[in-house]
Amino acid sequence: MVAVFPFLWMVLSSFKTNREILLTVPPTFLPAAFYTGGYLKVLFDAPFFRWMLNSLFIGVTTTAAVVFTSALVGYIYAKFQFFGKRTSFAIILLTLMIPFEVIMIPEFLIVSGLGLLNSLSGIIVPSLVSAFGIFMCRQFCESVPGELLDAGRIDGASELGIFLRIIVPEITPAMSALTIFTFMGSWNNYVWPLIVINDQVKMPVSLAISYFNGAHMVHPSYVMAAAVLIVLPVLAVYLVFQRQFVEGLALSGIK
Amino acid sequence: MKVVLPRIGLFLLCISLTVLSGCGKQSPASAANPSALKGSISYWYNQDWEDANKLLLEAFGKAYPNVTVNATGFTYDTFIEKIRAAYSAGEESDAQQVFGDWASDLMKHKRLQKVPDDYAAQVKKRLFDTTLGGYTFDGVLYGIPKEYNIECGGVLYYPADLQKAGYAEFPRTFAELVDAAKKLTRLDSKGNSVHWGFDFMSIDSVPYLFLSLILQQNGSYWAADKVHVTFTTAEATKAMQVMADLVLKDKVTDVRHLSDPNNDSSNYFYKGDSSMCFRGPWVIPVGQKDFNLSNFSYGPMPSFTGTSKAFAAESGWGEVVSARTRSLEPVWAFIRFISSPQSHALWNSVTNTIPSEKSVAESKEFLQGNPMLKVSLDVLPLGRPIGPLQSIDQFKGQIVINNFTALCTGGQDVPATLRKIEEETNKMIDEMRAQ
Amino acid sequence: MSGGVARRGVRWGGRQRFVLFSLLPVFLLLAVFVVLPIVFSVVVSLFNYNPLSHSPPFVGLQNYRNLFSDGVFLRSISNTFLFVAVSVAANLLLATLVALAIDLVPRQGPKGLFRTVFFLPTTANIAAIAIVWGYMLNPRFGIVAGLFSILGVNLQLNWLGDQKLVMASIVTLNLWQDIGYNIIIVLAGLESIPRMFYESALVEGANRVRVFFGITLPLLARTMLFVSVMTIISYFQVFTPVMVLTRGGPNHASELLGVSIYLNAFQFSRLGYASGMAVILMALLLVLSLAQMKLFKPKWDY
Repeated sequence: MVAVFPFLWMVLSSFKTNREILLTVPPTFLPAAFYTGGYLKVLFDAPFFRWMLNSLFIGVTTTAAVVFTSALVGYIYAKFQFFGKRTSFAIILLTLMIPFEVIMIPEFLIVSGLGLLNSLSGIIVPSLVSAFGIFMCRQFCESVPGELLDAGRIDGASELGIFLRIIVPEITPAMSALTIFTFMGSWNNYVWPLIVINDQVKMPVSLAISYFNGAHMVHPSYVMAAAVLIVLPVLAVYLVFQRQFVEGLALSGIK
Repeated sequence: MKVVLPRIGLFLLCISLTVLSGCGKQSPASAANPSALKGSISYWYNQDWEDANKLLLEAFGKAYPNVTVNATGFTYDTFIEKIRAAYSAGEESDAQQVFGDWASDLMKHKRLQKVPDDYAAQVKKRLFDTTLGGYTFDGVLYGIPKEYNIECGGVLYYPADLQKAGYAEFPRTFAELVDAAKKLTRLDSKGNSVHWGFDFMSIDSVPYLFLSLILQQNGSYWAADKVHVTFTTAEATKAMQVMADLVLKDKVTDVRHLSDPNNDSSNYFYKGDSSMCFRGPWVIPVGQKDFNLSNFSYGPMPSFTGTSKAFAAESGWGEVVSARTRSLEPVWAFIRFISSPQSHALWNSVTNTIPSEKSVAESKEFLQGNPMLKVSLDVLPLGRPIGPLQSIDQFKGQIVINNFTALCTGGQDVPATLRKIEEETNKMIDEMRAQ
Repeated sequence: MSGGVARRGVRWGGRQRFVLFSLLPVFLLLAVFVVLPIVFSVVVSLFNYNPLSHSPPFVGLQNYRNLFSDGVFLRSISNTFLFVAVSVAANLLLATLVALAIDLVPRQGPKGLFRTVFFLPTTANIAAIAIVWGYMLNPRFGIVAGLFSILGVNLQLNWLGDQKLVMASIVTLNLWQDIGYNIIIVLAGLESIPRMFYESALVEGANRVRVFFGITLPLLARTMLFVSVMTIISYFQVFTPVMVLTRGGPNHASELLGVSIYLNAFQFSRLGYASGMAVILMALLLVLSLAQMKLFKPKWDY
């Protein structure tokens, strides 16, 4: 219940006026009246729907690419041997160990050199593969019994076929989790898109929060409303995929 | 951010009409026939000033129908990163609305275009010297400020509280100020202050109060070479001692809320936690609009020595032009338009910022629309540019604040604090200049 | 080493082609967009670098020498170690307990509900959450203070402004928001354990505790290894909640490495110095991760 409380407070605050949030001491829990001005301002003062669409496009493409490549590459690292395997995996891990702010400028220079600035591709292309995803899928693929794979090969299935028909069903729980995480990460990503995009219509929805929380202005009501609205699609993805989750593990249970 | 004071309505109407009619000094070529000028320029601005900028953009669009301005607003917190990243990759917009300190880096590395000589000469006469400091490099002007970023000169206060302390008017001398502050401070059983008499704990107020106390004693914080700083002077020592005493001896404020980035000292004032708050005038609209208060006022900060009211100021928001822009004529037509006296008057009114333009600051209409700003407007001529500290953010936010906090929490004494501020600042200056 | 690929020699067998075509595009993307910037950053750490500068001065190891005598940086490292130690331990423990508890719920409906409830905080934007917590924790107007006063406790604790309390507050808020990830992953790990192991154990008459230590824990090892390595790597870089709430204050009490790096890179325009910090961080994390993987390598296969 502790888990839900701040979340609940955020939702309730989104229905309070700015003054109510800032001034009432001691702070109230329920709003005095259901004030929808925060939501109206967020939805109509900014191109909110367009931003949602941008984020959706970015989220879906990134997630699909990441989940597929991570499962594939994770599988290879788990079940195959090849030259330079340990070193390359260490390098892949290494890419997780450096804070984004440090590589932001060089990455920006590279993306700019490739002509991807001010476009959604500039956000999508650098995020098509994820070291986190590869690492996670490797761990889960390791647990898949080798006999299943050998059986598949004896049956004459192609390597790709083995991947799709044997591995993927086995690691569905992991892949569902990865889908949810990747989508969320992409949805909430905000610094990089801000640096890369110049035109307001191309921006993703994640920056709506800071749009309303400017340096000299204090508008917690709008910030809360924006935060709630932004969370909704992520929750939707979660609810959809957690069912996959459940079905996936039901399948893996029957073995 | 919409202005709601009815008094200002007529004033804005007059100004808007003037701006819309395209009057004002412009470059000879385009003044003759604005609609003959064709082109398209890109302009990035601060989202905090969305309303004001939109008005100016509309007016420009009407005056120059064949010039397209692709304007995008960005939130303050990531704007500096965007600008730096863009300039380093050569992808910046033609013109940007920047904050004073950001321009110094750009100028040093030759990324900005200087203001055309004829216009620069005009601007230097029209605007306060203090505001031009941050936009000048090697004596050449590279940008045009819209705002006089003043963090000194005024104090928020509750007249009712002062009356309880026996002051019918705002204290006239520094001694009276301290006296009133002490009387209004309330301590709890453990000796911690629960109500502050005079709060100056904010990232801007602490360094600027410090510098103004030095300047008012006719001291200087610049060393002989004019490049490095010195804070181990007698004036600096006295200034720091005064501030330390206010916190540690008189307890008129405490350092605990200094690190709260979401609640400025003015927020605490508006919630009733202090009787007086030393802050720049830009916090006044927050109290009026967001907190809906009308029981406070803004008084003139007394001189420390009784003779001088000098203070330091950095340059505020203004426009700069990229050196690589290809649309020379349109972009300078745009800049001249939005920095005309009329445009400035409109912009400052809507954003409630202090004007960089002398004529606006002296105009009766501006004062009528913003009566509480009288205090600040009166002291504008007394300001001095803060000087080439290389990274004003680092100086204020890290060096001064951290050392002052250490002083207030008992970690170090006044001489050590001053020494460290001096050493760290000089180290920073050397490092930045080498880049 | 499995003999498969080695035995095939130089012929481009189906398996080798598969490996090659799968890995190549991924490696290319990673190389261009991540590895290259990292190499750039390592090089930059040897300069007094400003991205706007046409000829930044080479300073060799001076940045590193300065870092080791920089009180703020050293404080930041110790803050971060403390933060990571406490947070990761708490995270792993809590996540596993919660995941186990959820796993025990017999019916899918309530199980899904619990899972959702615990994952809910993680779905929200960390910056927004930090702002919310900031309001909640304000000693005068925050709801936490309000609760205390309702309960009659007159503590007036300054959760974010007191040097002794701020770290605890950041740890709590970060855990609250982040633990959902590990709960989901551990759950996925638990649910990947084939039921037949449990069934055969029950047939043999093993009790709950033996089942847990004999079957669950060992088979969860791969998942736990992943979770612990990733959480450590991630927590060493925590930055947003601190930036939003305290900016590293008061007086560097809450300054974590991620924050130091950010402040130096952008606010103070010392990208070379910040890169040096990042290189040190990277080296640290590499050593820690490889050590974990060596020490806890699961020794069995199915």
